[in-house]
Amino acid sequence: MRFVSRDVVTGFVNALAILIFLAQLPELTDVTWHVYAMTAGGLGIIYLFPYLPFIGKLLPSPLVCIVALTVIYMVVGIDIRTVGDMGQLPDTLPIFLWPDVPLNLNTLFIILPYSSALAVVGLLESMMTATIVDDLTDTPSDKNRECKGQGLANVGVGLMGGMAGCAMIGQSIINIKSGGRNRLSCLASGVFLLFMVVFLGEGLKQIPMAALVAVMIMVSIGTFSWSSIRDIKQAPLSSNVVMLSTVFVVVFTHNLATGVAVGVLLSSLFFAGKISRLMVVKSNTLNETSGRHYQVIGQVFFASSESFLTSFDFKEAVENIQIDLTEAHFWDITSVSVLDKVVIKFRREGANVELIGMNQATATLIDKFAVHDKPDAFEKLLSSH
Amino acid sequence: MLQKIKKEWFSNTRSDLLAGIVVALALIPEAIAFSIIAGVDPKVGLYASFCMAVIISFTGGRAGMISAATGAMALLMVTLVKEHGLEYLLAATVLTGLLQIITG
Repeated sequence: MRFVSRDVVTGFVNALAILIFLAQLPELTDVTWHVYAMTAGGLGIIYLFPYLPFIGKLLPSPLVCIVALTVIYMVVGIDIRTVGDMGQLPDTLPIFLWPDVPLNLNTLFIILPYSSALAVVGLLESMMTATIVDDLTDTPSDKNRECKGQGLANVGVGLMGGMAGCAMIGQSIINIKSGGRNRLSCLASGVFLLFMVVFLGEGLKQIPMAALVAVMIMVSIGTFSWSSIRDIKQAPLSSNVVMLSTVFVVVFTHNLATGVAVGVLLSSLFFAGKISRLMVVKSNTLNETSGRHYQVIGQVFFASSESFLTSFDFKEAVENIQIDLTEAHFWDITSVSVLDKVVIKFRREGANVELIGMNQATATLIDKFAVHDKPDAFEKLLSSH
Repeated sequence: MLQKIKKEWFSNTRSDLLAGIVVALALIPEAIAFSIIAGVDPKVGLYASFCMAVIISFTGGRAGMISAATGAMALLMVTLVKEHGLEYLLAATVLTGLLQIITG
């Protein structure tokens, strides 16, 4: 999760908002004008109801929208799709059930890609939400316990006939703003939900789909990070590229996990590129004899090795070469092998090469992998090509 | 121990219960809509939201955070449900949980 940058998170929520909106379009195509009127009316209630004095603050406006449109539907009796047409509603408590699938490798291969994507996205959204709640309440949370808790909850959900879930940003904010702080608030929301659903089953069937579409459009608008569009001109190019690539990949593949993976990969590449540009090699003459002093500053690794190699002048006729590594850090085998190359090339030109001031980590790496001080170093270097 | 339970659960009872009702009311339409996105019966999302909220209130690490069926997760299930059906979705949900426990 530490590798998921803010740009990836912004891209993630924007893509999520777009996908939720797109998922509503089937409900809005090939329908009568009644559905459009209902949806528009629903959106009107959702956004205008909170401005009513007193009562506007008391009831959540999406709920008012659903109740109002359901009542209108039942009174007027127009023929539009309702929740009852979409499938079965619960009439009892959920029961413990082992999923009816063959327990073999074939099943595992079918579900594993989905489960891994669900696990990643679920944890990502939960960690994001936990951070938001931490900020809102000014209290710390136990992220590791939350990960395990999400896992236990999903195992339980699967065995009780439910679909995988995770923390919800919108609902958590509603909870905090309504005064919920402790574990009891989450428990209560679940218990009240089932209570209402089981006892209102018949009423739920009458909810027109148009009302749900209006609520989902509101969820989509609320999820989208509008400030990311406003700030797109000020933000650095790399940050925009990461954010927009995440959005495009998700919208194209319909898979949030792929989008996050691409975003993380891109931001790591950009970061490696930036750090590699911070590596410089300064060159000075050595005072006493005919010699040259090179001072290496910065991080030497796979992305900066190329420019490291080209910073040295191998054709200059000097006797002594001093390479000062006090301000440098060698990170990987690529950088060590490129240092080998530099040392051996200078020695081939007949110069004495001295490496000074390596830090502990660099020294360990060079002890382990460098060949320039070993016998037949030159042949080794040649044979490796 | 008893003190801790009291503090974690019952130090804000009235507000917690009221907020719970508001959240439950807001959860119902979303749970139904997310089930429809995933392509399963509304009861699958409603059961999910109930179980998720109840279990995470005991096992979670962030008090006051609400977990339930979500759009992000529903969007990932669409093809699995279309090609293999509900039972495979339930199995995938259990496996998702196991993977998350290992990560945690």
